[in-house]
Amino acid sequence: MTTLRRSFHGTPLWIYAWFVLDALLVLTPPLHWAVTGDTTVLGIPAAVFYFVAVALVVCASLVAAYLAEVSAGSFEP
Amino acid sequence: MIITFGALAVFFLSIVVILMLSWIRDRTFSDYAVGGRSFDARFQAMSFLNTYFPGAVITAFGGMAASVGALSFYFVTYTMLTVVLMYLMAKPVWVWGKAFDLRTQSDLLALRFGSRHIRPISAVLGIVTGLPWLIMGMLSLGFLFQHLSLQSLSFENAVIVGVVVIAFRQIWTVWMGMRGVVISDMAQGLVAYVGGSAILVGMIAWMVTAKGITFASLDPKMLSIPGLGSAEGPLFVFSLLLTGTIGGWCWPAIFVRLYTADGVRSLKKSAALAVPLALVFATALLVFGMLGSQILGVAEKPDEVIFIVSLEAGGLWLLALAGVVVMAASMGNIDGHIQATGAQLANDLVGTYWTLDHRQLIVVAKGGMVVLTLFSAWLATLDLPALFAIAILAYQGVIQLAVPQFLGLFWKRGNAVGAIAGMSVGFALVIVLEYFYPMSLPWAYGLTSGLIALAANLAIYVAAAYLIPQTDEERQRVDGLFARIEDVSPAAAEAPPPPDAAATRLPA
Repeated sequence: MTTLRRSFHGTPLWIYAWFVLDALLVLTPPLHWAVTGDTTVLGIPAAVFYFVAVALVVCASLVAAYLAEVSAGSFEP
Repeated sequence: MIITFGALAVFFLSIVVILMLSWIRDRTFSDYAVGGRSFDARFQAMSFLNTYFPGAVITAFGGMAASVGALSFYFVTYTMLTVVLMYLMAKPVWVWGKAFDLRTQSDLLALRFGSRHIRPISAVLGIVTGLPWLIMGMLSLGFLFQHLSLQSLSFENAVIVGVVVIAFRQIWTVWMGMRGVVISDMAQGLVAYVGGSAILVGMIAWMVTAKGITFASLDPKMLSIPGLGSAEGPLFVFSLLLTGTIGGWCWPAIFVRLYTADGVRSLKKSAALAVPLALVFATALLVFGMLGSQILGVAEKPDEVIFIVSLEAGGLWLLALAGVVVMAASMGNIDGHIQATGAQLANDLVGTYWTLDHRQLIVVAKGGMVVLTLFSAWLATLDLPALFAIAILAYQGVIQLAVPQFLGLFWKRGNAVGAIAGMSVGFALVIVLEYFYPMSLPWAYGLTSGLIALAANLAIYVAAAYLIPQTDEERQRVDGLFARIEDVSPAAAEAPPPPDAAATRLPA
């Protein structure tokens, strides 16, 4: 079993790694500084693109976490 | 006005009918305070959203998007990250909640730190910081009723009408307790966030196609956020995001939703169900607000963007629907807030120092809710010019609960002295910093008073954890608590609560 396949309190460790990545993406100031200014990405203001794209990553991690716990049988009696 | 107020009346009556049909007599105070820990993931998800996204969010963040622009999108991001915290907290909070019949956030702190005195202290902190937001929620109804009256009501009179309506709605909150709150949250949430998202997306499409408004039409200043060299400071955006993330679960009215689920699985599933809807709704609201800034009249009154644009886009019918959306969101937050505060008054303040049975606790909670409703309604009708500043200050204050709450859940060290001293010093420091440097600290690189106080709070908590020796008895007690989380079988975690949970109540 690889380290990332292990679990803690029923949650696979790779989910915790994803949550840490979420926090880094949301809270790292240099990322905020990189999207200042009025540049656009795909026609969307860079800051808006950053906030929504990161939110999407966090959203996906939560859905993945629940599905991973279900498939790992964490909730089974 | 028949159309606008008629739509609101139909919605209001529908909620009342749903509540009347779903009434069940509460047998214990836990039934009343946490709905008997009986709700599945769908109810949990909508209940969280309906408390987390009040009507004031629609007006305030819609207005922020219309006036400031891209910066407002930090709201979407921290909302997602705060649910990650919920996912991580779900197991310890729910398992301890069920095992020890916890009913409030302060109950959890009292259990974890083995201190009855932390219960009233944390409860007072939560109640005091929540009051300005309760009043703000009532005031946001002023915008609603003024627009639904087609400006025939003055703002002052509209606030009074809104306060009377929402106070009337609290009859069912007081009567039915948490069960009524969660059930109505489902109906209100569907209207506010599913219906609301559809309406917002429709109005965005109208602005793009009929008005030709896109991001390219906006003032370039609205597309940027504060960064290096900005007046706000380089860490300003970081501060907003961190404060929002940890603050989400510090509000007692939101925290208590962790107890209403029927199991850990429902809590975690509710996170997975809530976040996609929250992402769509919040993003639609903010895109709508930014583009809506180009509609005539919005620049002067950005907080009223949803009413101004809906009237122009779809006439009275769309204005009526927008009004119902704001009302549905407001109801969910205000009734959840009042219910949670009533439970805290009975459980954490009166119940800490007097031994009350279940019936007496319910009576005290109901009385507290009536008093709180009348008191906040009265305050909402007064001229409170500094209310928004006080509300911001309240957010900086309530995050001081985060240190004992989160460290207490995930770290076996830490004690009541550090928790109480840290929270108290943190809250006092917020008041002092806000007094001398209102709204911003010029020397702090954009950090807020709340985060600086949080650092002091954390330092005190950690110092006390290492400097004050833990007795063997206390270590065993805390080990026993954490063993419940580590060893609990899924079957035990999903089982219904005992018939009379008072038998397993936490020690005073």
